[in-house]
Amino acid sequence: MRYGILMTAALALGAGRAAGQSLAQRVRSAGDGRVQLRFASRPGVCGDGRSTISGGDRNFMRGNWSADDAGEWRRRCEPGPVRVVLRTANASVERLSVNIGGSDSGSDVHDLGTVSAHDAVEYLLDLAGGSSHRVGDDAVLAAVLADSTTPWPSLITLARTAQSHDTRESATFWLGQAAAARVTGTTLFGDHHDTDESDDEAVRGEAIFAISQQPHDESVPVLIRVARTNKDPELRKKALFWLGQSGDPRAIDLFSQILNGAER
Amino acid sequence: MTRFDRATRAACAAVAMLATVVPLTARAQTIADRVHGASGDVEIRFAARPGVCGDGEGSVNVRSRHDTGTDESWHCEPGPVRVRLTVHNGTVRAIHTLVGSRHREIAGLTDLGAVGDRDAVQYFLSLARSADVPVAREAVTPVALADSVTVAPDLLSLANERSRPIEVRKNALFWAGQVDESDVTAPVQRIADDTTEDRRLREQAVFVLSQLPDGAGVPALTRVARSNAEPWLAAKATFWLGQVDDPGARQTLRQLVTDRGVSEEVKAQAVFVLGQHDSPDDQAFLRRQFDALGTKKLQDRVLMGVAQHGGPGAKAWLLGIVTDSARPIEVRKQALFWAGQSEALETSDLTALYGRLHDDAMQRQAIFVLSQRDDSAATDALMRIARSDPEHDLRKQAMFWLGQKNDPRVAKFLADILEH
Repeated sequence: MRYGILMTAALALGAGRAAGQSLAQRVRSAGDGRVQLRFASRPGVCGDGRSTISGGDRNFMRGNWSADDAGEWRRRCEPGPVRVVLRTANASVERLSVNIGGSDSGSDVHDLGTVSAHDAVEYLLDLAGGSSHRVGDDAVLAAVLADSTTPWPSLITLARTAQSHDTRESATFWLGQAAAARVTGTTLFGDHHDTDESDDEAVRGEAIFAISQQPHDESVPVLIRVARTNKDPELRKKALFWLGQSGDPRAIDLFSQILNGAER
Repeated sequence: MTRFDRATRAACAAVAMLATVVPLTARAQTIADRVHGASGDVEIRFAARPGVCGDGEGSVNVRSRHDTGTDESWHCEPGPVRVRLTVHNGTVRAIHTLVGSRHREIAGLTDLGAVGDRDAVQYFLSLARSADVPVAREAVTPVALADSVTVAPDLLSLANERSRPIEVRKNALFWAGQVDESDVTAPVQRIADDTTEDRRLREQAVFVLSQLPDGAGVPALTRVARSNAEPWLAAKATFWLGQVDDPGARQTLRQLVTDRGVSEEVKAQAVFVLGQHDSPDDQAFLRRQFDALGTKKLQDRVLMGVAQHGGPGAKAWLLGIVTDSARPIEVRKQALFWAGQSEALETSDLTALYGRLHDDAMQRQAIFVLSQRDDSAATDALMRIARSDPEHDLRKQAMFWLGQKNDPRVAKFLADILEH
C-alpha cells in the first residue's frame, strides 16, 4: 500500500515537471532529429495526413500533387488535429512540416503528443520570428490553423518584425485573410463562398485587382478606403486580400484595427 | 711569335668572338623566349596588313582590298597591331589584340617593342595550335592582321584540324574568309558540305561564305540553301543569303518561298529574311504569296515583315486581313497583333478599328494590342472601354490591362470606378 502511494506521488511529480516545461524547452530536450506534436485545428480544416490541407476556399498542397488527384484527395480530406513535425539539428529547427491528421511513426521521431493550441501558437510564432522563411512560413501556417486561439496580436508583431521578409509577407497575408473574414462575418476556414457575382460586381472586382497592381503609393490608400467604407462586403474582402498581398505597413495598421475590433 | 703575342692575339680573338656572339644571341631570342621570360602584362607590336585599322583601344576595322569607301566617322589608324599578353609563370593566360597607337600609359605593362611580322605570325599560330581555348582562340586574330605574310592557307589548315577546340577552328575559318588573300570559296564550301564535320564549324562556313568579298560565296551559299538533304544547314544558308546585297540571292530567296519541294524550315527562313527587307518589291512579293503559303507559321512571318517593313501600303493590307471575317480568326488576330506592334497603325486607327470589330475574340485582341502601346491615347481608349463597353467581360479585360499601365491617371480612374 505504501509502495502504491509512493508510485502515485512519483507519477504526479513527473507530470508536474512536464507541465512546468515550456513547449520550446520540450522541443529542445528532445535533442536533434524529428519532433512531432499535435494540437486542435480550427473548424473547417481538413487534410489527408500528408501533403494536402484544405480549409474553406483554401487548399494548401505540399509535395507532389496534380490536378488529377483532386477528386480522390477531396474524398480523403478529413478533419483532424494540426500535426507539426520539426526537424532539428544543433538545437535549431531547420525544417517544419504541417499536416492535418496522420502520424509520423518513424523510429527517429520524438513524439510530444498533443499539446494545447495556445502553447503551440505561442511557440510557433516565436519560432517564426527568428527563423528563415523555410521554417517561418510553415510555422505561421501552423499557428493560423490552430483552434480556439487568437494569434492576431502576435501575428501583427510578426508581420512587422520577423527576421525573414517572406515570413513577414506570410503573416501579413494571413492578417488580411482574418480581417476579411471579420468584415464579412465569416470564419477563416469554415465557409465556402460560391457567391453569384453580378456583372458590375465582377467588373469592380477586376478594378480592385487592377488597382492593386499600381504603385503602392497610388493603390494602398484606395484599397484601404474601399476596405473601410465600401458597402459591398465582397469588394471589401477583395480589397483586404490585395492589401494582404501588398506587405505595406499601412495595410498592417488597418488589419490591426479591424482585428482588434476598432473596425468591422 | 712571342708568348705575349700569342696570348694577346688569343684574348683579342675571344673578345671579338664575344662581340659577335652576344648580339647574335639577342637577335636569336624568339618572341616565345621573350614572352616566357616576362611576367604580368606585356605588349608586342608589328605592322598591320593593308586595309586593317583601329582606334588603338578596341575597335578594329578590316577592309577588303576591293572596298574603296571611307568611313569618316571615326579615326582609324592603319596600325600597328598591338598584342597584349598576360603572362604567369611563363605561360600566356590571356591575349588582347588592338590596332593603332597606344594613347595612354598603362601601369605595369612591359613593352617588348616591335617584332617582325613573320615572327609574330609564327608565334601566334603556334599558340593557336597548342594553347588552351581562350588563348588559342584569341591567338588567331593577330595572325590574320599581320602584314606581308600569306596566312589564309595556315588559317584554313587550322580550321580543318579536328583535334583543336571548335572555338579555335571557328575563329580560324572566320579570319580565313576575312584576310582577302585569295579565293577561299572552295575550301570553305568543302567544310560546309562535309557531313562528318562538327555542325558548328559547318554553320560558321556558311556564314563565312556570306562574308566573302564581291559576293564570291553567293553561288555556294545558294547551292547549300537549295539542297534538301539538311534543312538545318539550308536554313542557315538562307538566312545569310538574306543578308547579302545581291540580286541573285534575292531571286533565290523568292524561289525558296514559292518552290513546293522546299522544306518548311527553309521556307520560313526565306519568308523571314525577305520580310526584313525594306524593298517594296520584296514586300509586294510576300503580300502576293500570303494566301498561297498555307501554314500559320509562314503567314505569321509575312505579317510581321509587312508590319515592320511594309511601307505605306502595309496599313491597308493589314487592316484588310484583320477585318476579313472569312479568314481564320487566328490569322486575323496575328495581323492585328503585328500591326499594333509596328508603326503601321496609329492608336487612333486601333481605337476606330475596335468600334468596327464585332466578334469577341477580335475585340479582346484589340484590347490587348492597345495595352501594349505606351502612348496616352491607348490608355484613354482602355479607360473608355473599361468604363462603358456594353460587354462586361471586355470591361474586365480592359481593367486588367489598365492595372499593368504605369500612368498616374489609371489609379485615379480605378478609384473613381470603385468609390462611386
